[in-house]
Amino acid sequence: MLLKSIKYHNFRPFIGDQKIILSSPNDDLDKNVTIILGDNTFGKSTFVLSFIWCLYGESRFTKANDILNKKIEKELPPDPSIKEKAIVEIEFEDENIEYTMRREQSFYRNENGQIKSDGSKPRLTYIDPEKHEAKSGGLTVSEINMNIKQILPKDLSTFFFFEGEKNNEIKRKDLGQAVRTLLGLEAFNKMMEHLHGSSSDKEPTATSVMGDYLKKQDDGSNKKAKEEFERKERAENDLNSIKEKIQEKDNEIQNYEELIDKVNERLREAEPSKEMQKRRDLIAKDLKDAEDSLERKYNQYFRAFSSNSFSLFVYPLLESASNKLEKMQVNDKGIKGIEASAINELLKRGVCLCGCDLKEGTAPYKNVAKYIDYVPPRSIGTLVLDMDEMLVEEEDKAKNFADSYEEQYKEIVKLREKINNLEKEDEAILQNLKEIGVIDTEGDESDLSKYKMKLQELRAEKDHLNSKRGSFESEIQNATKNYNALIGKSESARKYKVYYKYAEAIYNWVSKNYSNKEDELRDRLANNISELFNNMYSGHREISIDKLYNMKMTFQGDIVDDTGGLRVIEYFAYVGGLVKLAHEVKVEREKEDDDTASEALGEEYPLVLDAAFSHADQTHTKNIARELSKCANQLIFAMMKKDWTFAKEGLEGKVGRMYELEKIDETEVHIKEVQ
Amino acid sequence: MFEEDDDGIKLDKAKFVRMINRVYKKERINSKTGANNDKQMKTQIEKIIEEEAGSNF
Repeated sequence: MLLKSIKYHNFRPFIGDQKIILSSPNDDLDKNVTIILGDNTFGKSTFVLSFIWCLYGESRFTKANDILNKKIEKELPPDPSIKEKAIVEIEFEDENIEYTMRREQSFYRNENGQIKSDGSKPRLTYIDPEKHEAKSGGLTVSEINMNIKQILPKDLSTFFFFEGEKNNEIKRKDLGQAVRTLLGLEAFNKMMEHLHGSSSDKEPTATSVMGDYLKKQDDGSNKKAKEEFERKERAENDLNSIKEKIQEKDNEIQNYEELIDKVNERLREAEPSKEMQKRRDLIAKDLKDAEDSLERKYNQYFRAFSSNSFSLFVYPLLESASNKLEKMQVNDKGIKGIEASAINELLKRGVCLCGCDLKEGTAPYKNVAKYIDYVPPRSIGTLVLDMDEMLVEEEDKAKNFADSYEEQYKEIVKLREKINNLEKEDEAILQNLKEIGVIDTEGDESDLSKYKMKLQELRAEKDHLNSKRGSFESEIQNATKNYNALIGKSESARKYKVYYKYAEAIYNWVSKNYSNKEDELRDRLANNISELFNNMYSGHREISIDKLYNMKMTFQGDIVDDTGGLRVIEYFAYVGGLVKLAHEVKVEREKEDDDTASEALGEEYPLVLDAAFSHADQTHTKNIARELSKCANQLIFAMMKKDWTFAKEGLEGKVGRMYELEKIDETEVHIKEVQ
Repeated sequence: MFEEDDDGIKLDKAKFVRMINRVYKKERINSKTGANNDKQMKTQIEKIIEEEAGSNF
């Protein structure tokens, strides 16, 4: 914040319209000092306190209502309709925006001769930096107060508007928050607190931003989706293991089939059993075909169960639900896929889709309009229609499944019978061959019997494995379906995960860059103050700052009393050190290459000082003036002429504008610019 | 910070920078005005994060 000018209209001794233009480093970088000269009772305190009155509406004058110029006040007739205004208007600049703050208060004399007031009224305007036009800085008093607070809060202003010894703010108990706010650190502290909660807690607190996002992520669907995914993985592993076992069985089956073929080959070679062997070859081929067909049928049978049995089992439940809805007599006159907004649109257009005119009040209009009651959002009739359609669909599926399942089972039974018959026939032929004694089939027959038995066992085992395979395939299918459904739900959880990641990243960045920044800035503030103090003070004191930003002054280890002139130097060193640091961190931030947090940490503040040298001797006056003009961005001194004699030595080349207060009488002071 | 994590989430640096600046500015003003309480500030920070991150979805 930099002050540009202050205007008065009948404000206390400043009668009529008077204006002070203030030196600003924006106009001339080297000339940042304005001097207001005036002896005691010439209006120096009024000058400083007029800033407080205008910006915050607070009167710190001995008599709070002594605002209107006394000469003007005296001339007011006892007529409430005749009013006179006291006005203060400040032009200032903050963050490259020009503001005008005006406060006025109307006064009148009532019939009893007493002076009354309407209360002060603020008005804040600013120049829109893009459109270059004046805009209101708030329509209500509270809006204006809020905007002024954003620029320079009242409780911090006492650092910068010095009223002599009356408000030595550095003696407050806890300066921490005020100093942190001025340096921009409080915002980072609050940022970390709001994002994470207490920094001593490792995990974010439930009421913090991060805690909230953690809670929102955990809607349960993530966990369930994970469980379904694991179930799918387990079933896939089991399926692979079953497939390996089936492959082993296939290998063994193939092995035994080859052995059987060899035995049969030997038997075929024996004469006169050729015809019988031919028949046995055919039986072996038919057997092989029948076994293959049986295996295919089994696979189809298990797959069909996995895929389609849901409809069969769920149908009774759906039918029961439908019966209940029917008993509830839910209206089902709705039109599927049509909502009330579509019907309203047709009525608005005045033409139906069929081309019929829909003029309000006509039968077609009423006919179409009545459907609004049966379609969403008003009616659940269409939902019932959907339900009915689903029921019909599921009923069809259930019936089809039952029919086809029965058919497949019949085919399996037929194939088993066929295999059984072929095996019996083969055994009978073998028996014949043995009985006619054409060949010695005893050894081969025994082997063949063993092999066939083993083959049967293997095939039974393979059937069992195939049924397991079907159930695992079904498990995989169900788990995948559930997982996909839950993943859809957990999209919302994922969204909060992204928000959490951003909140966490911001917290980590602030934590890394600023948690130690306060200690660093406190040390720098102590150094600034110490340097300023020892440059202002002709003797030497050690200065330190405690955790609450209170200043402690010692000499050779002993605490020193700070009375009189020392207290004023102490104050100026403190405030000077603070504005210097605020300016330094602002400049440093602007120079930093890092493109994060480009907002400035510190800010620029003016120093407006009254009776700064009332306790200071010549040397200290010169020193204080010199040091403050070096560290403050803008410095406005209201001082007595006698002090100027010494102060000007310290302010050489720094003063941009100088004014003198010319007292005509107790009620009239003129502000004259000194060239 | 801006690498893809195990969940396939990758933060956008430009959005992150805008978030920090907007949240800081809001906190900075509130540290002076005290206009919003902690709960209101938390809601406003969440709004900023969600607005900036929003285009991810």
